[in-house]
Amino acid sequence: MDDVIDVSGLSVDYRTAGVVHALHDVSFGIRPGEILGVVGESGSGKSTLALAVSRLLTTPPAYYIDGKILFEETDMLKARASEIDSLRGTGMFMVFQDPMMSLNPLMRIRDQIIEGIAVRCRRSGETFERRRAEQEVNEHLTSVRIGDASDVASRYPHQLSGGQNQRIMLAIALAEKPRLLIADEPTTALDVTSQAQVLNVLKGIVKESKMAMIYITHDLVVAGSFCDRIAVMYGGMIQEIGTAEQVMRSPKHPYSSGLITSLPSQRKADGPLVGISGTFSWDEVGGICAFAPRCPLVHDECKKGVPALVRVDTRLVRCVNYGEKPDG
Amino acid sequence: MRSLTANQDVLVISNAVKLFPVGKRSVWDRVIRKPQRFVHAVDDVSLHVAKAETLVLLGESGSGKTTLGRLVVGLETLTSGRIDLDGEGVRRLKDNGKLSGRLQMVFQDPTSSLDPFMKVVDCVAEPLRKSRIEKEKISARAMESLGNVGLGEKLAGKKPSELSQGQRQRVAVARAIVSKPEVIVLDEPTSSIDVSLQAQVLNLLVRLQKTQGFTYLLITHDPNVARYMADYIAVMYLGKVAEYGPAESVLGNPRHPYTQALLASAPKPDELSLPKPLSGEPPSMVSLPKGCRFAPRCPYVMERCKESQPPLFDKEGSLVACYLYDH
Repeated sequence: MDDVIDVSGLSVDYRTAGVVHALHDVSFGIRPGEILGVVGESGSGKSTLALAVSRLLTTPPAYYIDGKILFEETDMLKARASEIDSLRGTGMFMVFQDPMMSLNPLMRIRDQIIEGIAVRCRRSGETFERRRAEQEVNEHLTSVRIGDASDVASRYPHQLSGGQNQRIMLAIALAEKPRLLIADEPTTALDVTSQAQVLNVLKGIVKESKMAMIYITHDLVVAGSFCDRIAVMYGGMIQEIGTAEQVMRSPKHPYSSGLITSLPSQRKADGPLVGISGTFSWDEVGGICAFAPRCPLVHDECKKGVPALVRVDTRLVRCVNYGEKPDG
Repeated sequence: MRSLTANQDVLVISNAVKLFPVGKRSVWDRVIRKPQRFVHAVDDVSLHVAKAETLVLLGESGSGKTTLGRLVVGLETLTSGRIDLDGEGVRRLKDNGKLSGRLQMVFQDPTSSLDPFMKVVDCVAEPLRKSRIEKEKISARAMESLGNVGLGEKLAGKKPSELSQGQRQRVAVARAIVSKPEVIVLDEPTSSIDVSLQAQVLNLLVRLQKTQGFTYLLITHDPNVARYMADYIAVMYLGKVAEYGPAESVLGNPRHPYTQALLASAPKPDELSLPKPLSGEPPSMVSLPKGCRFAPRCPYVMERCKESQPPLFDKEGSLVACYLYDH
């Protein structure tokens, strides 16, 4: 099956007082029904990636330097603004961390979902009927596991919990039927029980309607349990990309394994956690492996330039400790 | 109350209750004697923490865990019940000005809990300001405290805004330990920082406890953090203790249906499948069910659960507020 989105060699700079290479040579493709998890710490460039793919970055300060973003047949970097506008919602749909910021506080839930249905109808040529749309609202609310659909539909966002509001966002996504869903930390503000509810609903939607999905998170455990493939980012670059099982069970990049051993999976009596020393700083990125300043396995080779992504079994790793270049 | 541990209890919370009034009552409401409604933030909670041990309050938002932490350090006033530090009421100690330095708190967000206009060393020294220690000694103590959390002299003269989030949280820890308090309340100390820094901060807290014998009351929603840090765990749901016991018992053999659901909802590092979700939403804090607060979502609900609130039943060293264990 063809990829819904194909990003190749994407580089983005932020130019403010200095220049920050927020994204460098980022490439990936996602098939319909596939979930790609993008994992990294703050400053890794993961949110910039979400905004870059959906062309929501503002210039200045952000500049596309190089690369290509192909969404189905549309070249996102060459498309006109009106073309991209007509893709938003029904083509690609974004879910942000805080649902209260995305929902209109002055509109009832029902009307917000109907707005989405109306957009879909207008673009696909379906005839829009208010009565049928109202029925559809109830169906969508039921499929995101909101119990009392007709009661919730007549409420306002502030009357619902964070978990419910995030599920309302997903109901709007269902109404617009996008081919690509981009979610930036959609469950970070939620409790573990609401998080489990939202993730289960989300996975069901993606698999059933064959959407492609980019799931951005700092939580590797959630990514491991939810995604099909995982891209680990550091310093604006993909450091390792492979299936969830490859990355979680046998990480190859020292940064990926550091993230996994940082997770508290033991008790304090068993000894200290083996984390990653130091902190990330953009000042240390450039010319060499971005992770070298914090890497426990660092040696001279790491400081001779930015390592290339190399293929190890079926995954890609950006570390000098591994094999040949993919095409060499 | 029977003590769960052999060590001497430093902090004893007995039947703590905190109600927050909801909404304003108009004159008319008073005339018709419309009853004032309350949020039961903390409802009849009894816990105790022994010296050099960690009690974790585990629960979701709205469980009352943060309110309980604030009650302990005296940031809120109890509606009823008492909280004792070394046998003396926290409230009276606070009124007499004898509390300062004996209880400290580390907040979730170091960016808002550190004064942006103060130098790091002054932030750390602040709890000593009221004490009778001489000025020179105060800054020496602050520097020592910064050293203890692994921050060097270089950072002492900087402003909090010049530090990374992880460094700021270390400064907050340094400030909490500078007065050598008897109990430190840690309110979600790692939930605003990245995983790799979380490991650094957790390691630091454990090291300080081992070397200097600090007693922690740790508030968290993350079962993984709880497992790493806890000697004892109290699982809270809507202001009440659902289960309370030794960490290995609560996490290894959870008895309360809510504890089971909470642990099942948390993704585990060694599993690559989605956790099972718990159905339903927690009821409103203002109109709580008459019986067990978890009854509307509980898979094992019985008639009597809807009638009356279960007391804490003793089950092999753990206390469980569930009628399943009434025999």
